[in-house]
Amino acid sequence: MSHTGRWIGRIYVLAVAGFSVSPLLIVIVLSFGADDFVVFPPTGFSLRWYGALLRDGELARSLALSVEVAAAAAVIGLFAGVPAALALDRARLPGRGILQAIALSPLLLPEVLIGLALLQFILSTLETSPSFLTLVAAHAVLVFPFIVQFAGAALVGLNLEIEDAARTLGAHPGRLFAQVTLPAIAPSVAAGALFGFIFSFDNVAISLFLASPGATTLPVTLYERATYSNDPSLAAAAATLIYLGLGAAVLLRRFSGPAVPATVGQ
Amino acid sequence: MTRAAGQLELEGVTRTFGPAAGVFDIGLSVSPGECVCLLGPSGCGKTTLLRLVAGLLQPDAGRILLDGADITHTAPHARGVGFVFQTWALFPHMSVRRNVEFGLAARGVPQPQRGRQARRMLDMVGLGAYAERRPRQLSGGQQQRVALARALAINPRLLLLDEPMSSLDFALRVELRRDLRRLQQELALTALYVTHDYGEALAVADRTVLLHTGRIVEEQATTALFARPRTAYGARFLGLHNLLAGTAEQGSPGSLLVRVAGTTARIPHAGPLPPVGAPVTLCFDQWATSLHAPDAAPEGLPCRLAHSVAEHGTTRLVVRLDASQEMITIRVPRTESIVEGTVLRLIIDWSDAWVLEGAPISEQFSEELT
Amino acid sequence: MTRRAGLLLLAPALLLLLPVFLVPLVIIAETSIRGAGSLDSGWTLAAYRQILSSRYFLTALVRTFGLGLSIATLNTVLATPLAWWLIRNPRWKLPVTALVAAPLLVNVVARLEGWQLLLSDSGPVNAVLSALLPGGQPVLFLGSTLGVAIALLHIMLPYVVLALLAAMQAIDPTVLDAADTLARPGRVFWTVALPLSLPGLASGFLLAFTLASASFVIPAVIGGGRFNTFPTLIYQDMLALNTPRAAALAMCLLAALLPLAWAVRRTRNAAP
Repeated sequence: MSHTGRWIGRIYVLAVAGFSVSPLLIVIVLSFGADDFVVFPPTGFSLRWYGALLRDGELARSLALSVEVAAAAAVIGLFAGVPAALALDRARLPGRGILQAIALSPLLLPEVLIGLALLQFILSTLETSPSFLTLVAAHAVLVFPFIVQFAGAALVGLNLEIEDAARTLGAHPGRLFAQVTLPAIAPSVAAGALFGFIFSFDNVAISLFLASPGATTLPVTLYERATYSNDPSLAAAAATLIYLGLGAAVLLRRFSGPAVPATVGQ
Repeated sequence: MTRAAGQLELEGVTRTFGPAAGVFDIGLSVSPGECVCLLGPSGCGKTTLLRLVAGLLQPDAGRILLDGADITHTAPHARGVGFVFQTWALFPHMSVRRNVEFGLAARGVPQPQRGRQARRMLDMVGLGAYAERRPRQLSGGQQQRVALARALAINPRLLLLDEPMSSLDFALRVELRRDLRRLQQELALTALYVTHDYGEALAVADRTVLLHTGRIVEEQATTALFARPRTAYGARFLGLHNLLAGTAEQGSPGSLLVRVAGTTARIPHAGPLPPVGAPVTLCFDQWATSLHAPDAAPEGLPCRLAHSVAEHGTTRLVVRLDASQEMITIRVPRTESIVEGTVLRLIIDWSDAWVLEGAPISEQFSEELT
Repeated sequence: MTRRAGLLLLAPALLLLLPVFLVPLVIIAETSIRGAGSLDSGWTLAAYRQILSSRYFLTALVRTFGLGLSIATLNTVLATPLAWWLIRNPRWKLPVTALVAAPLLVNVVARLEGWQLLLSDSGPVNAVLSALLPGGQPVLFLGSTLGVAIALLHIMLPYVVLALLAAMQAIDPTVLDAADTLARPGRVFWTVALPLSLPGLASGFLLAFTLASASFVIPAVIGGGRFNTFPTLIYQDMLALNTPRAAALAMCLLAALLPLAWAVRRTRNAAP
């Protein structure tokens, strides 16, 4: 490549990377602002807005709720998803393709549709109102496809001869699963659970539809605040979420290596 | 189409990857129409060198000249070099014909001529009828020939081949390398052929360059290299020769006395004589020996049979010399098996032995020969 | 594994999906053909008729998918040279991919907050613009198509880049080497690399199209109620308790998105 060509390439790549990172940077910069309002450029450096975060009870409750919901959803997703992945991979079921499509469909359908459908179901058919339980159930449906997808991929990649060896050595299906199959797919399943957790934690639309007073998840609380206020505490909250996200990225890299970014797009 | 001569010069070419890997200070000269083999084990740098000549890698130092012009920093597609890859690297989304036409299309050759040239190339490699097939529909040998046709279509000044036969079975290899050699000679095309198989080198190359950890160890006409490698490394790599550690004693012009394996041998030796007492390594061919029963040849070197292996039309016998405990490999025409441990006498034709250049074996390697 | 064992293993999943997913979907489909107001009224296509004959809703539909299409196209055009450049300059691959993919793990609200700050009337972007073109009005990004488009572009970019990068990485490097010995780098890209990465490119494009069209949060936050796509209209109708129309809107959205979702799955499994 020519000399100028190489420089154009570098500038282009840096521009795109910069575009990608710029909203994150601005949030972090402004979260340390010393002013009462969001001012660019900020006049001073201060940690007051992070302090305000720590004192903010509503945010703390939302954060706790988000974590509880995501964790519960992940657990339910695991209990439903891992056996389902096994069944889809190994059992001779009729219409396996359709079942697989249904299993993955919660991620393909528009979130507003799912949120609306669930809300309507709760209000009209069940004649009750949204609650923590309904929120967990909805999020479990969102986490479920991640588990099925990741566990399914791991099962496909398994060396079946290892299981055959175990069987000839006398392992019955329960032991086989617990001591041979499960450990082999565990890393992928854990990655799926982690992605599902993150997806649930970050979810806005469905949490918004199923929110009940006092039971709003963190993204919903921030969303509602974003629409009527604009003080730097919002920036501080957003910055904290950025730190969390980057921390998760570092953890994932250490956890499952460079293969992770390729799967994120799924 | 006329083509320039194809004279290749490499001067001080160096390219490193990290502290130890790469090629160092390579100097090589290839005459027009000559086929030179780059021979060596994996990791010796032969593929690196080939990619440097092709322009797929840039050297850290040194120059590459083709027909007198410095192409060190020329882009690969502008060097007029044809490359046949180990995995053939055919474009999977194009037909055989479009694969062969690719270089011509890139040079702006318009359609009727392009098609005709491609057809000519495919006929030359015997695949004229396969022009509209896809690469995945072809066998390995056929893909290799398409790769060759594609490289030749642009009428290159230099042909580079990176172990093109390594994924093929033996019979196919023998046939294809014969065809390749014939083609190369007919076209008088300068070629560099990389391989780790010395049988291929013998079949294909006029001259062979032996590489080890990125440096040229030896360079000779191929048949000469096989008959008489000059270095211990060459002798070991080819595995066709025996090495013995000895000490130089006095010599006279044209010959040298060497104390070796408990005896003194007179070795013909041209060139400067090593100082008395210096360690030397002797080398001799596996056929330049004979084994006898102790009473039949009492003057021979005492040894014991370690093992014998039947090979293609010959028997390979390995004996351990009593005096120095070194292992010697003998090759004889098929013989009945001899019991292991049998005491024997070994007679070596010292007039066929020679002193190896470079450091004595004890300093170079410690692996056993067999 | 026997069929019975398989069904047994599917039981927990069915227990989860049936009441929480499948049944509500059926019910919402049914709701969309109810008359507004009364739960006892019979089935009617009134809601659909209203949507499909209203200029307001049809404009919103065009806006929704037009936006999705333009974002997907723009992202693909932006991402292709980037992915190609990273393939050719592998030392940059990891840091740049990390920078492009990192936002995926950050909550979308946090990212949108960043765009709100960047694009506000007194924000950095307007500051730079007024410095370059003095004397003008601050550009209204928030609440406009432009602002929503920029935010969508940003949110969808990682998906497209990662899909393209995966597709280009899957190309055998020696095939590219072979092309390099025969043709200029530009030609290598157009005649070899691009055709071979087409399935991945299509996959990324369709994914961005689907996600952008179905997006609720981004038009809601950046659009600030002034920019309406089908997802935000559905939310508004829900708030206004006009459930049948909301349901009908949702079903229309689904109908338009399903072929796209199917196409995404098809290109995922395609090989060159």
